[in-house]
This record gives sequence, C-alpha cells and structure tokens, in this order.
Amino acid sequence: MRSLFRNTAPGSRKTVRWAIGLAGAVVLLMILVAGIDPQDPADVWLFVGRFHPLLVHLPIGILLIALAMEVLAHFQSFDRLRGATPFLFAAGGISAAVACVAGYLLSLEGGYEPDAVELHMWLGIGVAVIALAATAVKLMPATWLSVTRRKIQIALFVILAGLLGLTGHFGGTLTHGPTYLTQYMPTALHMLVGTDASRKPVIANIDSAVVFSDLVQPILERRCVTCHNATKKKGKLSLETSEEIQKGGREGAVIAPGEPTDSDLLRRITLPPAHADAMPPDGETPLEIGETEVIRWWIAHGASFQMKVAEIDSVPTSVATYLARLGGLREEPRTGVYAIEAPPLDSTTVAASEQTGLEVRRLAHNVPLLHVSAVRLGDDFGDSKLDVLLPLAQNITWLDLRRTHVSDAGLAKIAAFENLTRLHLDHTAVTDDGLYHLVGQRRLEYLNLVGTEITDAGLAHLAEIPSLKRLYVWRTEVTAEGAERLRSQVLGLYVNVGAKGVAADTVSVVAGANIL
Amino acid sequence: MDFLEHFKLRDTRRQFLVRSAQGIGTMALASLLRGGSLQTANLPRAKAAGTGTDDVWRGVVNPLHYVPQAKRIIYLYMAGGPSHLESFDYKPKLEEMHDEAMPESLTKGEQMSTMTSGQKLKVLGPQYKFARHGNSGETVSELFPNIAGVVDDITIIRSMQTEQINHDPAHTFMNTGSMIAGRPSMGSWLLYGLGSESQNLPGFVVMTSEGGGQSQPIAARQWHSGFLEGRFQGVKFHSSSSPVNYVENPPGVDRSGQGDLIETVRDLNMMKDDIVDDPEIATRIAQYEMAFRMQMSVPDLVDFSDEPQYIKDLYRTEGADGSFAANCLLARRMAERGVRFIQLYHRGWDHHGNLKDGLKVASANVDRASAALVLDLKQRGMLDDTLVIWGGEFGRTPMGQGGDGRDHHIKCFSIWMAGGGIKQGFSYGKTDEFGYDVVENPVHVHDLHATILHLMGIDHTRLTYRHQGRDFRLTDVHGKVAHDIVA
Repeated sequence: MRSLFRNTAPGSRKTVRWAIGLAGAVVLLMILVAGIDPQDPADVWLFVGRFHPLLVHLPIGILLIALAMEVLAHFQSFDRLRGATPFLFAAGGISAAVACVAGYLLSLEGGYEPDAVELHMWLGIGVAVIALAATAVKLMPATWLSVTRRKIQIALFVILAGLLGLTGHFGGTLTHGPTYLTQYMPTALHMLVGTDASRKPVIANIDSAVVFSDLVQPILERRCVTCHNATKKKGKLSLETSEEIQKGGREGAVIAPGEPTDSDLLRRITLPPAHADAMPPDGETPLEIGETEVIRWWIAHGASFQMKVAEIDSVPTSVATYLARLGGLREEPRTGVYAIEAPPLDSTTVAASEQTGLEVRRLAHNVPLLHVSAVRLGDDFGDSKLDVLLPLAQNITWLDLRRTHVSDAGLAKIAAFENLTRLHLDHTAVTDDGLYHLVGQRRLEYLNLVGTEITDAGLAHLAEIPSLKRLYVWRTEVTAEGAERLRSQVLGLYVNVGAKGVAADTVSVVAGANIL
Repeated sequence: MDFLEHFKLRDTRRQFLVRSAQGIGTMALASLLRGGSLQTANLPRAKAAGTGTDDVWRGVVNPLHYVPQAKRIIYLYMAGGPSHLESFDYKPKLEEMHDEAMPESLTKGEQMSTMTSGQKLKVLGPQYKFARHGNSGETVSELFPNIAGVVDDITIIRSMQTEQINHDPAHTFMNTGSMIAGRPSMGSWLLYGLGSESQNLPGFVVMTSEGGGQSQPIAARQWHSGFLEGRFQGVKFHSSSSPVNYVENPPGVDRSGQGDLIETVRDLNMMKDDIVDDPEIATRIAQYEMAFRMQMSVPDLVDFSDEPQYIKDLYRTEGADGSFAANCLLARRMAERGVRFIQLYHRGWDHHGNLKDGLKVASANVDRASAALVLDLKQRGMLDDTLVIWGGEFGRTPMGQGGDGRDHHIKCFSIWMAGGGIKQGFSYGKTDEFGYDVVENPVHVHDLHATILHLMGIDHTRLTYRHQGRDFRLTDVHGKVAHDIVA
C-alpha cells in the first residue's frame, strides 16, 4: 500500500489519514443509523431526516462544480483548475454520504412508495460511491495506470453526471409527484417530448357527465394527487384511482358512501386551514366551496364511480353554481343571477365606488356580481352620482336607490346596466317617461316603484321587459285595471298595487285589502 | 406601552408558551407586526376582516357564501309555547278520542315536564275548528283568521322539534342553539357575520308584549352576544311611549354640543383602550356613537305622522301603545330603516290551564298584526328580502293537563315562515295522527338555524368563532339546511 502513495504530492499521507478518518466517521454514522427500528423511529431521527432536502443540495452543487472544472481544465487557460478537483470530489462524496444517511432517516417517516424510494436511494448511494472513487483515482500517483487512468476518469465523470441527474429527478418526483415538471409545460414542448398534453376535456353535455370521473376526479387531481398518489402516499392514502380511494389510508376508509358527515376526506377538506388535520396541509389554500360541495354531493349520493349527473335528482345550489362555472355547463336553464355572464370584478373600481359612500357588496363568494345600495346616502345621492358606477355597469345586478333623488335622467344612465335583476326605485323622483329607459332590460325580475309618480301610462314601457316577474306599485297612480292589463301582457308577472284603504272591522278586510 | 403590560392583561400564559417555542425574537417581531400588542386569535382577524374601509362593521362573512335571499329578519316569537293543535296542526283523531286515555305506546318513556309526569294522561281534543284556506288549501284554525288569509304567502312547518321542555332552556336553545347559557344569540351571530344595513339604529332590536295567559319571564340573556363582542347584542326598545329613554338632548344642549361631548368621551376611552386594549372599550365607544346617532334616528322612527291611517287600521293600532300590533308596526318601520334582526316577543301562550279562553285572547292579540305585517311588507316590495318567522319555543301536549290545559311538548310543534326566499303557499313536515311526534321531514331547531343562515347567504358551518380553543357556531355541530322550503 505504501508504494502506491510514495510518489504523491507532499502531505499526501495527511490526506490519506483525513480520508480514512472521514470514511470511518461516515461508516460509524451508518452503523448507528442501521440500529434504528424502522417501524418505530424515535422523533430525533425523523427530525434529522427532514434535513435531507437541505443537505442534498451540498453534494449536487459541489459535484457539479467539480465536473465543470474538469471540463474547463481541458483548456489551457483553465489548466490550474485541475488541482482543485480532488478536494471537490472528496467533499462532494462525503456530503453525499451524509445526505444518504439523512435520506434514509427521512424514508423512515413513511408515506412514500417503497420502490421509488429504493431506486432513489441506490442511485444516491451510487453518487456518493462514484464521487469517492473519482477522488481516489485523482489522488493516485501520476504513474499509476497513466494510460487508462484518463479513460477511467472520464468514464467516472460521465457516470457521476448521469447518476446526479437521475437521483435528483427521482428525488423531486418523490416530493412533488410525477407531473410536477410537465404540469404547466407549453403544448409545443409536450409534442416534442411526447408526453400527454391533454387536459380534461370540457364536458359538453352535463346530463351524460359521470359524477366521479368528470366532476370529482378533476378536483382530486388538481388539489390532492400530488401527495396522494401511487408513488407518494401521504398517510398511506392514494386518491388516484377508484380502488385506491375506496381502500383508504392509514386510518381506514376516507369515504363513507351516503354519509358525508362520516367521511374523513370531507371533514378534512372543510376544516379551517390553520387546523392540524386540515387538507391541503400546512396552510395551503383550501378547496373552494364549490369543490367541497361537489364532493359532499357525490358522497351523499353514495359515492358511486359510475353514476351520471342526470341520475341524481337534486342538485344543490352551490353545486349548480360550480357546475355552471366549469365552462358553459348548465344543469337546466338557470334564471336570475346564475344565468348571468359578467366580467371579473376589478377591486380598484369597486373601492373607488365605495369611497362615495355607496354600499357595494359582492353578491356571493364567487359570483362576479354586485349589490349596490345608496340607501345610506339618501337625499345626498342623485343622478350625477350614478356616474361612479358606470365602470361597474356589467357587474351590478341588485341596485337599491330608494329614497334618493334619482330621477328620469338617472334612469337614462341605468339603461347601461344590462345585468340588473333587482331595481329599487321606491320613493324616488322617477316618472312615466323615465320608465322608457328600462325597456332594454333583459334580466330585470324585480322592480319596485312604490311611492313614485308613475301612472298606467308608464306601465306600457314595462310591458317590454319580458323577464319581469314582480312589480310593486303601491302608492302610485297605477290602477287595478292598468295592473291587470300589464299582467296579461307579461308572462308570469305578479303586480302588487297595495292597500288603498281599509274598512272597519273584520277578518275579510285584511285578506281582501286590495292586493293582487 | 410597556411590552410586559400586554402580557399581564391578556390571557397569555398559553400564548407565551406557544410563542416561546419560536424564540423571543419572533415574539418581538410579532408584536411589532401586530402594532404593538399580542392579541387573541379572533380579534385582529375579525377586526381586519369585518371592518370596511370606512370603519363600519361589514361582518366577517364578506363576501357571502351564497347569494342571499333575505337581508333582514323579523321574528315574531310566541313565547310560552303556542298549542300547535289549536293553531296549524289539525288532528281529527284527537277529536275522536277526546277524554280517552292517551295510548301508552306513545308516551311511555318519553320526556315530560314534572307537571305531567306521574299523572294519568287523557286526550284533550282540539278546542277550535279548522278549515282549509286559500289556493293552497292549508288548514288553519278559526283562531287565526287573518293569518289564514295570507296562507298563500307563507310556508307552515309542522314538524319542528326541540330538546328543551322548560321555558328558559327552550328559549336559550331556540335563540342560541344550546341550552347552556352563554352563547351568542341568533341576532348577534348575524350581526357578527353580516353587519347591519343601518348605521343609525342598532342592528338587533328586541321588543316585548304580553297578553293571553301567564306571562313567563324572558331573560335579557336571550338576546345577548355571549362570547362575541358586546356591540352585537340585542337592544330592547320599549313598546309604549318612547322606545328609548332620554333620547332628546337635555335642555340647553344642542346637537353639535352633544357631538362634542361624545367625541371627547370617545377620545378618553381610546386613550384607555391603548393602554388596556379591552374589547369592551371598543363596544362602549361604538354604543356611545350609536346612541348619538339614535338621538336623530329614533324620533324619526316613531314619528307616525307619515303613516297613513289605513295602515294603522290594517294593524289595528295607533302605535306606541305596548301592544303586539304596535310592535309589528314599529318593526316594519325598523326594517325599512335597515335593522338586521328584529325580535318581537309576545308572552302569553303558556296555557297549562284555561286553554280555550287564553288562546282566544292571545291569538286576538297577534293574529291580525302578524298578517298585516306580511301584507304591509309585501306591498312595499319588502317581503322578497325580509324573512318573517312566527313561532314559539315548543308546542303543547295532545294530552290534557288539569282537564282544560296542555303541558309543554317538545317532539313536534308548528311555526310558519314567509318572505326572504321561502316558498309560498307551502307546508312542510307531518306529524302523527295524535300530533305527538313527527313522521315526515323533521326540522330540528338546529335545522331551522341552518336554514335561516342559508337564506341570509351564510353557510352555517363556516360562520364560526374561536373561543376556549374551539370553533363555536350557531348550529354547534348539527344542523342541515331544509332546502325543500326554499323557493
């Protein structure tokens, strides 16, 4: 052995002693770690294991630099780099060995598919071994195997580069799932690489859609499968296929068909994000309410994997809204606010309109429609103030202007609000002429004109609003006959002219108070 | 202010231990980021989430979970437990079996109040006649002819169920969702979740009236805010003369002078708030400012000069006379002005004896006004977004008590609801032929709460408040929305 090192650089014995010392330390570490019971590791090992993703960057960086230096050293101007590479390979090899130990400890945590872990482990060990081998070869005296040494070195470098890449890729797959890199890949690249670029096709016909595969599964794929798939099974649960879902995880079944309240899956996705059991964990954005409702609906109807949407007779509102938003899906022609297509809301415009003292509220969670009320401003609100709402014209669906100074001029501006479904104009200054501006309304269902100066003549304009369902005209000059005529002209319209005067005593009085 | 003072004044042993795990530096950083105080879990979140740009409380449910059908609620609370068997649930079998022994199969082992348990149970037949009314053909007794007149606008729920057989726990259960006192009432939850439309009147107002039988007391805790901030509690208005005492300024003080006083008091309070950071100071400041605004809004509220005579005749009251009808009229005016939750208690339905006569008086007190309220809201176009609820805390037993009365009954009772997204001319739920138990579509108090919140646009499982380490909600861990009654 000593002859092997006789012609090496000064201090080489020291180097050898260091190398043996470090190698011994790593071996000791491995023996220590081998003694851990894999079924029930102590928390301190799991704590150390969690540093693996951190430690692993050290050998990657060091070895890549070493390889880069080896390549550059070919060129005369970078010749001197060659002297540094043995140290780098040694450092890379030792840190890779330590990272392997930490990686083993991390694997004791469980939740990863054993085959994938094993592959990654052996590749990682390979990196450490090859790096150390490269060090050894570099440290050999110049005369040893000089001819083939170059070739051996090149072979080792190539293998090391390959192993580094593969280990790193499989490590990333273990953490993030197999589709991590390709999820957002541009379609052109997909074609080049040959992976499947198809996203789930938009469901053309909701009736024939299968509840699980077309509605529930995309949600699971989007939000759950990165950690709950065949390769990475957090909590021993995979949500990739129907069999796996039914099998459940470490704590048993996660779906109780027909019993949403007993289904742990549903419980976890509806917990507040800060809760320890909440899914997705670690404070990640929780599932949308539409998504949790779809899953709840699916479980409540037996969690069947074949059932079609058409076979379920009751679709709760929240699910229907969600379905509608999936792109052109309609369970049945929806009326009112669910049928409205409106542009997304711009928060600065909304804030600007709120500055004027108006109450501007979003109608609901994920509907881009607004409820605007000027009730608080009362007399201070007039036609001119409506201008601030014009940028939001498409989004306003409920507009409450009662007891303000809005008049016919204001109604002219309101004509631009195409998505109105409810309009309060009670106790304002509008007259019959102003009603003409409402003729273009296609979605208006509720109109309140109580306490205004309109007469039967104004009703003629309202006949041109086919969507009108409820009209209130108490304390106006509208007569019962005029109201009756309007009702015959608009299908499904209810008109209330209110009490005109109440006679003395009896029961029938109230029931017979002149209300249509 | 001194960093350590914050520790002493907050319940921070837990906080301290939690934060010390993150290191002293993080604590210092946390206190810097939170503006100099370590606050409990809910306050900064609630404050930040619920307060709008103009410092008005917008509610924590912002935006809403669902498109709301109702914007406000008027709850006509028939305290004492009106007999469903003489109001909305017609049981011909009881008529047949009048004075016979009550079948043991029904009553054996069932919970009964101490007044009835141990007695021999005999059926008491319905004391009044029923008839079908309106296009929907619903059966309503002759005691409620006016409500029968609006039966095509309401939904009658005959399958209500509760768990508490005595008045106070039952009121607590109906108001707060739990028989254990200390939880926020429905109105407080709604204010916490939605805020109030009106800034000049309290968002939650309660009024009481009585007539028709022994008036069981109603504790003020029924409209209390529980562990929510004090400013969400209900405010009780008087039913006769002025709803609020001392609403006018003292002689010699004008509005701007009063305003100066309020501002100064507020500044002093805020100085103390900086030191002790007590949420009740925030409540006090809010209440003073509300009181100042009410000095203007309350006189306007009770100024009945703009109320046409025929409307007063519709309710049959001149207003402010302490009657249920006057309360209804005022409730409608409050609803117009944006009060979120109005609860009108009418005490006098507890007919353990003298059922026949007592009911006549009680129903006469409320029948016309209840129907008038529905019609009046309707003609103003307000019934669409106002939810009217009529009902008590429990029903009464099919077996008689003392020969001429009925005892408390929890297994079924009837209520009706109108407006705010409720179906019209509909009835939901059925009871058995004795009117003893529910056979179809039970609606538990929790389910009622869930439905009410749903109509207001809130998912009852998502309006929560963390207290004592637990996320409380109005429906606790129960409740499902009765979608069948929603239009």
